[in-house]
Amino acid sequence: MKKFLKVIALMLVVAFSVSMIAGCGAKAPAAEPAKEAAKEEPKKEEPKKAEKIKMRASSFFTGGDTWTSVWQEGIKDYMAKNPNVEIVDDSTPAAGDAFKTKINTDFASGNEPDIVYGFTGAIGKPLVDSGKLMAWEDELAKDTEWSKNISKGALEYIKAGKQYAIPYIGFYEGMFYNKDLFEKHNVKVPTNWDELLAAVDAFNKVGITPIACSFAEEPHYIIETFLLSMGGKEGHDKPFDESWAPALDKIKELYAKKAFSKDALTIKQIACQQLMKDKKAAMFISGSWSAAALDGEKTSIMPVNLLPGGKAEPTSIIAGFSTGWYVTEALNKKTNGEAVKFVKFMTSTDRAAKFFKVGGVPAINTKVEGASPLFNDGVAMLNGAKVATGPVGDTMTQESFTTIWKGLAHVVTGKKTSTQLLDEAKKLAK
Amino acid sequence: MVFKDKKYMLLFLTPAILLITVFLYYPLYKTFVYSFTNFSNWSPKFSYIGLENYKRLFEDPVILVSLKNTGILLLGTIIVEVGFALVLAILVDSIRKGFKFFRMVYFFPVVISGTAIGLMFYLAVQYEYGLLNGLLTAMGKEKIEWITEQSSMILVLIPVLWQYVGFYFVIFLTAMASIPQDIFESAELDGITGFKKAIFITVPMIWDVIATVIGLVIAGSLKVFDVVFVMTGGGPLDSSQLLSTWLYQQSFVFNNQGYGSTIAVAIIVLGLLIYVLSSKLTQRESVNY
Repeated sequence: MKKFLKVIALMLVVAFSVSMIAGCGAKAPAAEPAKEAAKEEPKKEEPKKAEKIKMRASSFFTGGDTWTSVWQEGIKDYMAKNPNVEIVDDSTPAAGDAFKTKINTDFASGNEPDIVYGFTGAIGKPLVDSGKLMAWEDELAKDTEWSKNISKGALEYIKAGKQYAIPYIGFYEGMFYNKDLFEKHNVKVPTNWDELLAAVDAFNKVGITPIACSFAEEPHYIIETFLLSMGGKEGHDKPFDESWAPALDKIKELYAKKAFSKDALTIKQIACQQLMKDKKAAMFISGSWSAAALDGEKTSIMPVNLLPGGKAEPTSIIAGFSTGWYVTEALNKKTNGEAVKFVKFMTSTDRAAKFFKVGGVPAINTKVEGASPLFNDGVAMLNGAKVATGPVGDTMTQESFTTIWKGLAHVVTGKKTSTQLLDEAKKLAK
Repeated sequence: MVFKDKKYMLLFLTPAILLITVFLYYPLYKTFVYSFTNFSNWSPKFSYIGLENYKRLFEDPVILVSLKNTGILLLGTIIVEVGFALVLAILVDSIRKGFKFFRMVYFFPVVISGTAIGLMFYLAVQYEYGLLNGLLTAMGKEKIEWITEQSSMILVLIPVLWQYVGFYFVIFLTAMASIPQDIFESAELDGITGFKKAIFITVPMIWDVIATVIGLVIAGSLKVFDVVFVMTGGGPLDSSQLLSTWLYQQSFVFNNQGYGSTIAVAIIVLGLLIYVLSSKLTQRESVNY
């Protein structure tokens, strides 16, 4: 009996250990089907169904994002065209820096996806530094039929030593305004600071939020456009230029004039968009990605160069390319280049036309038909800009810029001065 | 018996020890190591900076706010969560009909995820599109800004407390069910009333369970994150920041993993200190029956 119990006990331990090892190793076979498919390729006479290639694609096209539906449609169409490929949509919203957090953690912990549509510049640096990304130079040179449609300027703009990302959706920032509200309440669209203050008073009187802004989630664009307006391109691009503090003080002045919604310190960015769409707010400082969520017929956009004493050339805007397509080199090899094929599919002129019909500045040479007046206003603002520069957040460490945007609420409520906040951020700029 | 042989005990324990070492003690050790580094932006290149992060911890004004808020949460959970759960359990234990119904109703919030609860409460208190302001507007009243610097901590406390009352209620109810009935019967013969019965018999008889629950509540309150993160994100103006939310923001939003690790170490040390203190305070001679 004793011997029998010993045997049972040993068997249990062995079974448990084996199942544990098998469980731990469950992730590795993900790439196997591709290998097997590759091995089976020569036997073409056998129409044996290849095993599914599974890939993970990360982006911020999810939830209320402008491009969510076209992104999801793209994945669906690719899988329909390639029945042996399964793409898991692993997207996370960009609001509150959730996407940045997720993708940085994925790369740091060895859980990187096959394909990423993510940020470039300083924000994309952790991905580049991970050494896991594929450089696109060979592919761009090899497949000219595809690469000839990609803007050379945009490629150069997001180059980080090597070409790790393929540019796609460019952006501009500006002040959206509901033309119909301005007309209805007989308010002049502001072209200078005094007119902006007059518009704030006028809209407050009729119970409409003058400017929709989320200090809790994304005050980035009001900061960036005000820095540009006050310091011009030179002041904006020079970290902690002396023009920065007065620019932030102007946001404080607007807050004191009740230019923002009562819950500006807690409102979410998506709710700000909704306020604009529902005509409960008159103005909204944001970027091209918000255009599709607004009333395309009765909303327009203009540069935010309204600060008194500002050095900016009146047409100056924040614009550029700060996102792109990344592919993880090792996983692309394991899937036999399927990740690259997917990126080429999404960046093809036909597919790009669907993306840009929704909004954004194309880095792909494509024709966008049936665009809204707001889309055309955005493109006109971009084309009319004599000066354009990238967002200041792309040029400094995330810790430093996060200190500025998270601390802005403390400045507007008088808990800190703008100089104190900028000093704190400067210490973290490294 | 086969277990008299120590080597089998070791054999059976090995998988559990392996798992706990790989997934708990090793990350804990790494967190401690990272707390002395300038690990940031997930960059593998970092260096040791001595006690710099700990110096920053003592100078960080948000840490003070977080500590205060964690204290409020701790007191709230011990007094309201445990107290309310105990009162509910005593009440439900004394009824004959509907016992199962009440148990299910009070336990229900425990099975809902904290994120869903946080979102539900956030949608209720939102300014422009929220349920409460919708009701006020329908009644012709002015909308109220519910989440303010002064009210944020109370607002996040409500769902946190509501969520777990049912959990401790079930624990108390189970403990009360194991008290021998003859003790109550003899007390009733002596003419004891319901209130005295609860104070002099029920509570002392389940004191061991109460002490354990207090320990659980302390550990749980230091881990509260989801509800606060979804409802206020620690704001406005860091007024509802907890050590856990500040740790998340430093590590993942500010991208300073070194300082984030230091906050994690502080949470562990604080948790241990409070747990030891509460164990001393709740130590009593246990009642055997």
